[in-house]
Amino acid sequence: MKQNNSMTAHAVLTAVWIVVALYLGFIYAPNEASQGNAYRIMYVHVPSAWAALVAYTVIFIGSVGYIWKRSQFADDLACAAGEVGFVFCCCLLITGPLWAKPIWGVWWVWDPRTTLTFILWLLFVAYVLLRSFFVNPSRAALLAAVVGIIGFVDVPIDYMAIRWWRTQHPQPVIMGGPDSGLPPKMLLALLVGAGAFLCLFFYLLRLRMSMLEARREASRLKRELEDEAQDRPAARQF
Amino acid sequence: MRRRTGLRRGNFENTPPGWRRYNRIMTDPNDKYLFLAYTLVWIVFMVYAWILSRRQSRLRMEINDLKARKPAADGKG
Repeated sequence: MKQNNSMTAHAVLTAVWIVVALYLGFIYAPNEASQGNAYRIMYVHVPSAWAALVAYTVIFIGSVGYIWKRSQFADDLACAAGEVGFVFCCCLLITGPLWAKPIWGVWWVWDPRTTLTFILWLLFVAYVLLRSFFVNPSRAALLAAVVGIIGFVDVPIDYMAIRWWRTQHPQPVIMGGPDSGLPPKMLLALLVGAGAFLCLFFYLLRLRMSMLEARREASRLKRELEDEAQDRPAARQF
Repeated sequence: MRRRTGLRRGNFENTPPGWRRYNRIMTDPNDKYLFLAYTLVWIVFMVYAWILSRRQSRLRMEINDLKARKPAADGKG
């Protein structure tokens, strides 16, 4: 009951935050001189990217926790973050080309940042498929944890790619050095948008984790019923 | 005869006040990409939310069913 109330509060907070973020992104933030309205795609693209990177970091933490302590909670955390992160990474790969086409004139270029992001998406796909293909849950959890830990190498390289190499992808606007930055109104809209997406990410993560717990409860109940059904004929013989 | 509302992009004459602001914001030829990006993102989230709610209701039904069968099985035993 308490958890239900907290989930409802989290859902309401997320919805309000998203509405505020949309208002700031569309109305409050000024137009960009060279890109026009197309730059407003940044208010969903960058938050999706941050949420996807946070999701893979959560997978890494959960995977380390599972291998180290064999904790069911850590495994649930990683499993839920894999699926939700995949959704955010899809949004990232949808909005990127839709911004690139009007600004660069092409849908896609294989520069370090875009290539590493595509690899991140493939890692999410591999992680989700690995989880669904194995019948034995402990074997699936162990293999997924290994993929989660090895794949995490991509996250810091992806994040630093635009700082380390000269790329077609725009240079960082936040924490990108003394020459980078955004006008205050645009920065506020971006940060509120990122907060809204992270709030949505954690809401979906909690929802997915509660479903994993419910799935385990259903399996336990089914097992108990099967055990009782097996015991009954034996009891009648005596 | 159809009344002209002046809702074409960039046409600010004879435009109702509410649409004037809309026209001032949405006059960029690249607006279709912006519209498409936001639409697709929200479609992705809506589809995922729908899949999750379906899965959740199926799970809830399964658990309720199993719980209802359990006392019955206990009673027979």
